[in-house]
Amino acid sequence: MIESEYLYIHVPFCIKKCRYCDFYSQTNLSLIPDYVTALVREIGRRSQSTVSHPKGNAATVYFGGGTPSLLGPRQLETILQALDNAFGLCPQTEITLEANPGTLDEIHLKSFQGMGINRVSLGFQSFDPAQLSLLGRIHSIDDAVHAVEKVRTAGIENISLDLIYGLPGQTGDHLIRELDAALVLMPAHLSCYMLTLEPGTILHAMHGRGKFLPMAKSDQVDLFRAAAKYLKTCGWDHYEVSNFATQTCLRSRHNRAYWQMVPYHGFGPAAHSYAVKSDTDGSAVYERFWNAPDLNGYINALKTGDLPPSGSEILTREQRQMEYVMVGLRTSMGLNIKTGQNLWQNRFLTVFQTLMEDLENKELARRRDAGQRFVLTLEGWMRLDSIIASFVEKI
Amino acid sequence: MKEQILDSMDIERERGITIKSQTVSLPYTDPDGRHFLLNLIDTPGHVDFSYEVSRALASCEGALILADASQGVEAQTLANLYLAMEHELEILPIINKIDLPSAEIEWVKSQIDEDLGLDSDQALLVSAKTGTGVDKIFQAIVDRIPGPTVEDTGAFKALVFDSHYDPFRGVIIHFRIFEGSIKKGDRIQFMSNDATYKVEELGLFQIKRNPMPSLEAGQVGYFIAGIKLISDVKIGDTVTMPDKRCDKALGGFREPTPVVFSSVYPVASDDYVELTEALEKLKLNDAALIYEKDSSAALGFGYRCGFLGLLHLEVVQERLEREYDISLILTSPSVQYEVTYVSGEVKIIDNPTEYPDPTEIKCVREPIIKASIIVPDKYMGNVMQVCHEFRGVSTNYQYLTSNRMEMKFILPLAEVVYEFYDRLKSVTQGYGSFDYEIAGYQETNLVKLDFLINAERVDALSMLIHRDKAEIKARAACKKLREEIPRQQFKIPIQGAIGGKIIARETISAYRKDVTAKCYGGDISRKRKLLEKQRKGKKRMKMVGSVEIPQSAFLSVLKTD
Ligand SMILES: Nc1nc2c(ncn2[C@@H]2O[C@H](COP(=O)(O)OP(=O)(O)OP(=O)(O)O)[C@@H](O)[C@H]2O)c(=O)[nH]1
Ligand code: SF4
Ligand SMILES: [Mg+2]
Repeated sequence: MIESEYLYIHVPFCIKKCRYCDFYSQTNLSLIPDYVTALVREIGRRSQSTVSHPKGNAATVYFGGGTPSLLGPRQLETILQALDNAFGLCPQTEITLEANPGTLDEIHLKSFQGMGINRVSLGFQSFDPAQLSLLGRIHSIDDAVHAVEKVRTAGIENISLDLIYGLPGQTGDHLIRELDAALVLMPAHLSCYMLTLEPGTILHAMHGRGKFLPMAKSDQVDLFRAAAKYLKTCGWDHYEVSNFATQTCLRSRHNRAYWQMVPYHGFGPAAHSYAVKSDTDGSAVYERFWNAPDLNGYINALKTGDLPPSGSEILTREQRQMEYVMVGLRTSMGLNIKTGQNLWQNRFLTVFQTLMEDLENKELARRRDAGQRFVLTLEGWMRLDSIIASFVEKI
Repeated sequence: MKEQILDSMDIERERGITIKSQTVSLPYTDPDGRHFLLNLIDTPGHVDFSYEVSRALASCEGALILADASQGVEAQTLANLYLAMEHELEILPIINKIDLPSAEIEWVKSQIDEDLGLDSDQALLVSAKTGTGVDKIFQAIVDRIPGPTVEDTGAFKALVFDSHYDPFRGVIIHFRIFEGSIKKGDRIQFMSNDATYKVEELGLFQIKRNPMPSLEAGQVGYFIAGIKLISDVKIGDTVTMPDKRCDKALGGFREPTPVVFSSVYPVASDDYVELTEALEKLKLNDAALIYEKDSSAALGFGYRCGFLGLLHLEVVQERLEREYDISLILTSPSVQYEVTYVSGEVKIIDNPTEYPDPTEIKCVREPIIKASIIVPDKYMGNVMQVCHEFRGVSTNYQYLTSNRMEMKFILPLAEVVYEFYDRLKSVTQGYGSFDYEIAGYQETNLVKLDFLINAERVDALSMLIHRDKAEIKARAACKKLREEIPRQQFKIPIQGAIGGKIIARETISAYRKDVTAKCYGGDISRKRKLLEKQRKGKKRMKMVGSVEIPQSAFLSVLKTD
């Protein structure tokens, strides 16, 4: 049996909006029941029109948000049931729930585990109270530490923690202390994100009014290097710019889809999907589509049986090439020369040979697997954006 | 009714300013049932286009002077009032925007009395937005502005006050008839060169061209007479007829003189032919634009253009890019310097590439202006300071009212074509207004500032600048260049130099430290679109030596302060 479907569920609810966050979510929790009803309908409708596979096909389910841990066991169960009907879940399916350490309940966790949720990603962000309050988080450090225990007690071992670094004034030492505090909890996986000022966030607005002075980009990048080096010496697998696993088999299977241009289905408002379909002449059509970030529109449309408001684009070959470079260079798998030659119709090496050699000479990249993969080094990742730009220029 | 009906160009509508004068002939019937035809010419307000005002005034009997009820009388209002008085026109003051909550009618009235020396009891209170009082304007025109005095000498005499080019009909002449009448089929003659043409069509401007069988003395309208080129027509010329020749031409008016010069190059060298055609076409409608061939080692072939000011430059640039779809690189705008060589020879130079070696120079003089600035007196200190920053010298000031003053300065023209006006507006919180006239030359300490990218001098970035300002400018420009020039696969030094002396430097490292933290399913489209946009920007690049320089880098140097 091949598990080939990657499923994402967007849960657009939070107790309070964090200052740095630009994910689509809102705080009117009374809409949760309507949302769940609509979601189940969307899953049903879309699977009818797109899927005709045998059951047992889902490789991963990822509940992201927002704060999916705000959903009760009955609600999650209903959603999982709908996914099972549509795609087929099996014991091997990686089912991740993003959780806010401030919203976890032991009894709930137990039932989550019972219904097949086998991975929890906890939004810790920091072990420093001052940083937590600057970020606008609702939980305390104790909450966070207890959350890990609770998840484990409920029988879920595959725990991932999120940390944010690069807040104004943070030193390398401070960051290492944060990492140490996380490592003590023995998570299987760590996501360490550099704080980014996204338009539309509270921090962004504070910055506009002179109330928040972000750390300089190059200083943040230096912290990135410090964190990566430290985790490496602790034996961690740095498999994507911001992601680390204790072992290769504990890398997020779900996110792999995004970074390797594998199709995925996103459900819920603001969720994105990527699909490869066949055209009437049998050629492949690559499509990205997304539901509008509009919870009310979503609920209303599905109430009347319509699909929610959405957008889409068909990717040209050039756009797929850009995306491949953009996501591929982020991972320790890098760019696969064979995939590249296919995607570029055998011109990949002609186009990029000089650039790749230059990057290798500067030790910003190296070849792996007998030259079959082109992978950035840590120094290369530190300059990822301008390296991607120089690839894209040549497309 | 559509808004901004006379400001019909895209740029006019977007910027909310008038660039090109427009005429409209409006039928009006007064309460007594008398019929009138009011000929109105809407003129631009910005100093760059003041020659348009002087032309219009020569063809009118009266002028409506508008003051903003919340802003009051501005320096340009005053300048235009003087022009109107020189033409002995009847002047009708109007206070507009009375609908605004911030309107201060009494305050503006006192300015009309005191600044303008007009009778504010005669001022009309109007809101163009709500229409309040607009009908009173028409009646006031009829009552207070004399109709055209028509002498019947048997001759035909008319003034060309504007022209424009229509791709289907050729040149369209805007004219005002002083004596005689004209009909389709008549032969007309321009008095400046005795050229004659047969009138194919004539009529009135009534938003559209409205053809008429004939026009007579006192009327303002257009005629079309098979004239191919705008350059065949001299604005200010007198039109007569060979068989009804008038004995004396009307007084013409001063030609608009360009004061700011810059070279224009296409980003893609193949666009040179298109640029040539586009300039020819623009010139058809913009007599003030002048240009000649130019070339640069870095940028290839282009044109050296003369503009009436920076706004005019921007307008031309925007029209070339938009209406003709050519990406352009402009060199740093310069005024015309008078260079006296050691040999005694004197040359006018505006192009840095023609600037001689300092050892050959005896002295350099730069054009200066007389500036008039009107401000509430509490900003006096700020205005002084800004003028000093821009190398200005205060000549005198006077109180217009108890708390508003007119300050006069001599300023180098080179300084005011840059950010002077913006700075003035900002330090006076928008209340300072500014007008100027060219006022001769004064000695200056000029240097040629060069920029080297990867050790190669890029001639198109060179500029002529006052020595005291060179270093700050060089540093700011190097910094901007560092930001604008994308990383290449090697380090690129950027230097600012006077002669052989480096006065500023920056380095672009091969790859900048920067990494996007997150890229998941929902981010991919958006992030790819950013890359596409970035790449598009880079396509507009010039290879200079071994470095690709984007158009934006050239433009950023123009803008540094
Ligand atoms: N509130 C209000 N706004 C007005 C009124 N008349 C004009 N405006 C606004 O003032 C701005 C300038 O109007 P214009 O008619 O373009 O001014 P102008 O004097 O012709 O400007 P130039 O031609 O550039 O000299 C526009 O935004 C108009 O909408 C009015 O009576 N009331
Ligand atoms: S960071 Fe997470 S918890 Fe905070 S507002 Fe965003 S989605 Fe909600
Ligand atoms: Mg106007």
